[in-house]
Amino acid sequence: MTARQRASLLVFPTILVLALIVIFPMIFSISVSLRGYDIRIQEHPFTGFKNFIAILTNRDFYNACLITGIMMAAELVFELGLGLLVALMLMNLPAARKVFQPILLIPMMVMPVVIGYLGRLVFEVRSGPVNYFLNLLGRESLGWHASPDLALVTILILRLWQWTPFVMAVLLAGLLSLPLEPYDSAQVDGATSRQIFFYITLPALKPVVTLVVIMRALEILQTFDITYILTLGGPGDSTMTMSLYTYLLGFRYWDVGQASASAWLIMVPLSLLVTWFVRFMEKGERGAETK
Amino acid sequence: MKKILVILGCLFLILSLSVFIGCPKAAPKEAAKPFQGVTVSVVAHGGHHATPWHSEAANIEAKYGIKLNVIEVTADELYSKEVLELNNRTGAYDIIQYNSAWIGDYEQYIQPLDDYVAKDNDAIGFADILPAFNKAQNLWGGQKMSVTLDGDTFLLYYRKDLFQDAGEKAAFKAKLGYELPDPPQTWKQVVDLAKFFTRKKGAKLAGKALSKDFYGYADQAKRGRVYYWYIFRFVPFNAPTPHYFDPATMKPNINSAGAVAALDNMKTLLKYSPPGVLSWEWDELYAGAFKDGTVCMWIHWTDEGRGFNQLAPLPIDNPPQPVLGISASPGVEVGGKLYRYTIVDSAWVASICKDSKNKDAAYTVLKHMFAPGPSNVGYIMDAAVGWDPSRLSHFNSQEWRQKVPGIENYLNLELKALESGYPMLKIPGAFEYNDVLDLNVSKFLAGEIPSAKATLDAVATRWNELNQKFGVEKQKGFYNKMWQ
Amino acid sequence: MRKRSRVLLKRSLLTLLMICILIVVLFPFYWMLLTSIQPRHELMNYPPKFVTRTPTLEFWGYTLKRAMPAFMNSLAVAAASTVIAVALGAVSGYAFARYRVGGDTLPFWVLSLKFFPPVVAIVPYFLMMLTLRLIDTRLAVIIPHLIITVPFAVWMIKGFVQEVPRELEEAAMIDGSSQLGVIRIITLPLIAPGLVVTALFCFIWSWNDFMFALILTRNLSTTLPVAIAGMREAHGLMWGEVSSTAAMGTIPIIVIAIILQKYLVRGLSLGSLK
Repeated sequence: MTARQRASLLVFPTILVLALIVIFPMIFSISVSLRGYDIRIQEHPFTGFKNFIAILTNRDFYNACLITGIMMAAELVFELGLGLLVALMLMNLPAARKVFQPILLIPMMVMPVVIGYLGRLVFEVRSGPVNYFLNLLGRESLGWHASPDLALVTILILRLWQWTPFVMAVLLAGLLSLPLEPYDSAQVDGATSRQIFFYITLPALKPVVTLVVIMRALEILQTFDITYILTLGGPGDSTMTMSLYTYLLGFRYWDVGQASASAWLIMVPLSLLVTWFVRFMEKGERGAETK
Repeated sequence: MKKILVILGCLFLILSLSVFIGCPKAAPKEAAKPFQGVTVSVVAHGGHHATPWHSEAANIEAKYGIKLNVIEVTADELYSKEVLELNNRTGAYDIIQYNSAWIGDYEQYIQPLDDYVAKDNDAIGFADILPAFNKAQNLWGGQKMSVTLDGDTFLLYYRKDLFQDAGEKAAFKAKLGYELPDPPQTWKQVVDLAKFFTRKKGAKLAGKALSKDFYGYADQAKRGRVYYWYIFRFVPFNAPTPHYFDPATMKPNINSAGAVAALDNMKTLLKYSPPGVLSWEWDELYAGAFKDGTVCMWIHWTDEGRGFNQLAPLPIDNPPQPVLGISASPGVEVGGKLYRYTIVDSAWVASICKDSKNKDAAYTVLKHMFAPGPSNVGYIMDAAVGWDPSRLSHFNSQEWRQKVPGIENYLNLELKALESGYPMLKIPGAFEYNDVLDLNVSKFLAGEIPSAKATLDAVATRWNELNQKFGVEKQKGFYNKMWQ
Repeated sequence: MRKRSRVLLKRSLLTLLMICILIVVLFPFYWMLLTSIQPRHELMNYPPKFVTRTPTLEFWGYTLKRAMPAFMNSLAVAAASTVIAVALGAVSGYAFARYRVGGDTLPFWVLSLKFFPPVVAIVPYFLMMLTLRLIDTRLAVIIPHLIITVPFAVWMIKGFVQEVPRELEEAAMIDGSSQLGVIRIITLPLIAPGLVVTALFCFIWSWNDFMFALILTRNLSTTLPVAIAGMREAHGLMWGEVSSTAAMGTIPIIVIAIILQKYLVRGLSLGSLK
């Protein structure tokens, strides 16, 4: 047996397990997306693309896409930005790092449902400590998750609280592992710290950033616990994210067909987007490597 | 370090092997009891609400030999879980606790109780249950489908201590031209009162300066529940014959002129409500109105009424003794006559599943839990459990009156209010109909939709679509069953 | 001298800033712990109470008494998902990294499974477990978790293995060691931090899952998130009990994270193996 064949043998169990667990749900969801499937009604007639069309002509679907898009963009930008900032700060505090790091990972370990409940307590307009501090600083209380304008911001803040420390930890580890030679030669050449940052640090962080973006993007799309607990998509539908929308559709209204259709509608373009993103980032890497 | 990793690794392996360990089985008991060795599974609202089931399990086993298996599910997901199990006929549940609004979806899986009741001469006491609850929760198409577990209903609460202040009474009369109504009877009066009493911190209330902002009125206006607070207005604003649908044609009545006026009323009162009501669930409204004393009037379940003596004093110096005013939900005057309705919540009831293999045992359990008697009243009296009075034996309980002096006020007022009970929607897909209403009301209150008419027209359109989806004739049949 | 004091000033300012950040990060957690010992009537108080003079242990009592079975279930399920995921991930990750099995498409298919929205899988999994008579067992919850944890583990470990220069292994093999020996002595120690990180994330994900656990269990194998969601009073939440149970749910992971700190830091980097 060649080494290659042995390697295939190694991979086989994993593929087998995954295929077994995933095959039925996948076929089911594709089949169901082409039917009128309400678990409470006995008939499941074949309806072709009716579900897809129903979704694509539904204003609520686009609203959910918009909200999710805004959340995704804002969350990625702020998590990377803040994470990088704090990571750079910690780079300059080698002694304190050991203490800060494990503490910073705590938010990620709290159950998302619980974070939703905590959000209700902490941001409550009347009795929450956040408004209390705002008042102490002389500012007016804000509406937070009771305000149609601020509800999404409130959710964003909670999610930033939950995940920025993780992003920071990954970026910090990436920064710590950067080779020193480019920095030394840059300093010899007389580059400013700004130039060093933009032309050496940032490009070198590309693989780490790619990893983070992909992990975060997927997670943002799939979880809805905080939105579910804190606002249930409200006030109105100002915080109705894709995941919450699909959940309510498939799980409260029992329109499993439409929910599946909506899930596929998101999944396909998304995976293409991520693939393109990975290739884009890797191209830069490979380009750098050939130098 | 490596050692620690090895230890952790072993720990992981041990734990993961425990995957295949099942749960310990109970040892069988001796002696011949009527249902020896039978297990009855009940799916119930999780948390404190399930305490009586747990507490009675030992008694039930001792008396009948039945092993009670309590499956707790979080209230928000009770519907989802039950639909999945029932529709797949898993037979997992013998007794099912649910919101009777879902009877439309559950009907085919529920065992009617009429035969049982006839056989043992109504030992379970349907005659003892208030007619309002029987009509709104248990009766369906003329059959007794369930027994009331928790008599949820809604009452208007208000600061009677404030209403009794002579200075405020005089000022009200001077400003609005009529006597301060104690209790408030119509929604118009509620608006007048709310506007009159909403004052900022520092202004005078009952003659003294306020230490906190004081608000006239508050709803539980969070998305997901706000539709209840709309229905409290929808029904009286459509007096004298309010209906969710036209019983003859199934045309939605949700965008009638009365309905639009009701929604406008809701938006108006937002002006006199604390900021943040749009995020208020039960806890926030209870804390803000009852524990903080900064709201003048609000509608809520029965918890405030039962705990009336815990009302916080008004936020002023030397406040008067706090007095909680309790009254039926405000009504509307039509043609000189006052029409008032108390909305009877469709939750919570218990039924026997048709797929149960132990229906007789299940009925025995139901009888044990709900037949009129001291243990039943005991759970009703326990505020931590959260089961509300629903039977004459509860409302007339001398034991309760002795235990909590002053409770008769609440009990008598609720009894009176329930004389004009009105049910919530109970057709297949009730969940969806209500949720569509909830979503749009929430959008309107949040300012996403500019006019009440547009909001309710959108709801009516969707309700028509849902009628089509379930079958208009079928829905008509179900809707008429609600009233039989 | 001046430069020294400038650096010191910079360091102290940064430390101060970090402490502020830490306070913000820890504050909600503190609020959770506070709520778990605060008497009921102080909840949602205005003005908010930051400390309580009359702490109560009743909520922790409830948690330790009623939530232990759920805690053990969560532990078993998360541990199993993690062990299986890391085992499969290590084996196939190594193969993908060193031998490019299946070219580009196979690993991508594995990765693409992560995109599968769990929501859509609920009904089919319920039907599946019903047929296999696995409803309300720990296994029923572990299986759907594998959909997320295994692809994640494969992908992560593949990346870590790719960081170990092939030359290291080849050099060792030339010296006469078997392939297995090489993996044991050289590769494994180098990717150990990566394995730890992967295991931790798999564990956390499985530990926190709510949806699959909700649907596929009844009352024998419910996990902690489901138990917490069920802690309701008649209309409100059992805030105290929720907080204490949630705190109990967070503590084991924090403890593990602190113990494995060194590996975490090293593992979170992708190029630290120079």
